[in-house]
Amino acid sequence: MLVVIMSPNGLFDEASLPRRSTDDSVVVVSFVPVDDVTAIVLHRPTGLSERVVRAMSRTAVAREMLRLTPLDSGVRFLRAARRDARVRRALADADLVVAPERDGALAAWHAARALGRAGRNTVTMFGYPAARAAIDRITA
Amino acid sequence: MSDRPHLLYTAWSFPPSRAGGVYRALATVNAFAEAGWDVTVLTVPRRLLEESTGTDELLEARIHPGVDVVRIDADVPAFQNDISTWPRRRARHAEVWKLMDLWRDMIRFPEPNYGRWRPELERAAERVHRAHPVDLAIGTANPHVDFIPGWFLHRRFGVAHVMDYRDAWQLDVFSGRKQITAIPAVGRWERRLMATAAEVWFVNDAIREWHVAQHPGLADRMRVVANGYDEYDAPLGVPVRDEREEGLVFGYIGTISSKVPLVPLLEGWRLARESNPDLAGSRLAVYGYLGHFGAANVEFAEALDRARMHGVTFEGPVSKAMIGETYRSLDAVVLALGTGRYVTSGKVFEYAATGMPVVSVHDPSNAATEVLRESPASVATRSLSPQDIAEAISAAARLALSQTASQRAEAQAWATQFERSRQLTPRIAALAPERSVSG
Repeated sequence: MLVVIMSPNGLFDEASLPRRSTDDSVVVVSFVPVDDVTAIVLHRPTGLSERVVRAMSRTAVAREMLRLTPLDSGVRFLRAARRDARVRRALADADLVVAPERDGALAAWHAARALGRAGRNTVTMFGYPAARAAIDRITA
Repeated sequence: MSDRPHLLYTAWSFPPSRAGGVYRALATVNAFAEAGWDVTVLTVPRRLLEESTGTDELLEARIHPGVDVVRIDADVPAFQNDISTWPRRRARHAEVWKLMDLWRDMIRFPEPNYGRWRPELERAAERVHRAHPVDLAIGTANPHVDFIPGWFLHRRFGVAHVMDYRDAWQLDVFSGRKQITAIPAVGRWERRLMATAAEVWFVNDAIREWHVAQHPGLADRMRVVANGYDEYDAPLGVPVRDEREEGLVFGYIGTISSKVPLVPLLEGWRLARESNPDLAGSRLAVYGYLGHFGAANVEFAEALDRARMHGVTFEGPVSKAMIGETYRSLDAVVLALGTGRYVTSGKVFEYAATGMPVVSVHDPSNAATEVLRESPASVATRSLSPQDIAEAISAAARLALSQTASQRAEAQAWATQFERSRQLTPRIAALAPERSVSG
């Protein structure tokens, strides 16, 4: 079973998804390196947009407003993931796609749609408990 | 049909849920069943628990065999985890979508996410009552929509009902201010529900007093039914660990919600470990889930990761039914709680029952402070500054290294006052219908 985790902040450790067999593998798609697992580290946007995001992230109101714009961190993660061929390859083979955090959900949602159109029956879950339950059902 | 009295108990969080309030719910239904009542529980489907809090089958096995559990569908968006079923606007604008979806709750019951459960609860309560007449209905929050079956059965059939608030609906127990969700409709519903309730239960006197001030005419029915500790397969009264000289092991056990002062705790731990030779080779083992609903808290995950080099290990969740085994591996426990004079928490009682040193890492004004005031094995931080936390941890380390077997036993004996059954027995006796209860 191949599990692809869409987590901009690299939220993954051994307790997140206990491995069932040696055939199981996990790939974390992230903006940051992740220990002890295969990780696809995406190029984080830099330059003016990053400076705007940092400035607007200082207050709660500005953060909420930012979420309505294309500078929303979920959108930026989606764009970076779409541009990366390694992500496309991993998703094409995935049995399960997991978004453990809010900012990974949009990329996981688009992956679910694309995989559905390609005739793949990939399960897409939000949160690790839901992912663990999905694995139980898939392997039952 | 049995002649025994019949309790209908409504709890969103019920085993095998791992949510915090589940232990009080389990203890309450078991206590009624042991007192000779037939008990029916209305709760949510297993799948919803599997995909959110996770499940604890060992805890589920603790449900009294006489308890009938009825699981009712609950179409609540916060628990819809299959992303492929989400509309695009939910994936793209999660916060806006949530706001726009609120009307589905509000037209039924003024509680975000859960209000839409009301019609299902009413139908289920009526089905249960028609099949086996209910003598008493208890709803336990949160969510507060759990109060609906009792209120509904009272209105339709005159059944007595009890509201087990545990904490509060309108009051933010951490800030002491009204919740942002405490809109006027909540006040109206609270009055409406309380007006017909036989009793209204709270976990501590501070919360009860707040409600008395809100509804002075209803003070006579408001009672404190404190939390307590439950003892399952592995005893909580653990012995002093032989290996403590080789390196103390501190433990935190519980859901690490955003209110837990984890970051100052980890900083305090680092300072204490660097400055105190008693803590050389020591470890802080953190057990539990990182956040509710399974979505990880980024800040906390990163903080725990950074703290690994200072002897902090994240051990994940542990079954409550076997929690005594976990305590057996520790020398001291860390009571890290959110700030608020209304905050007690359930784990303070369980920690006390172990008899091992408890280091309290929370604001001194918390209601939990009162619980441990007379404890022979408690150390509290003066404030949530890392320096004060470090001092408290160092003091707890000295206590953990010096505590004798008889001192441990003395602390355990002191804590027996917090056994859960001692809180529930008087209420069960008071609520028994006039016909006798057979065992």
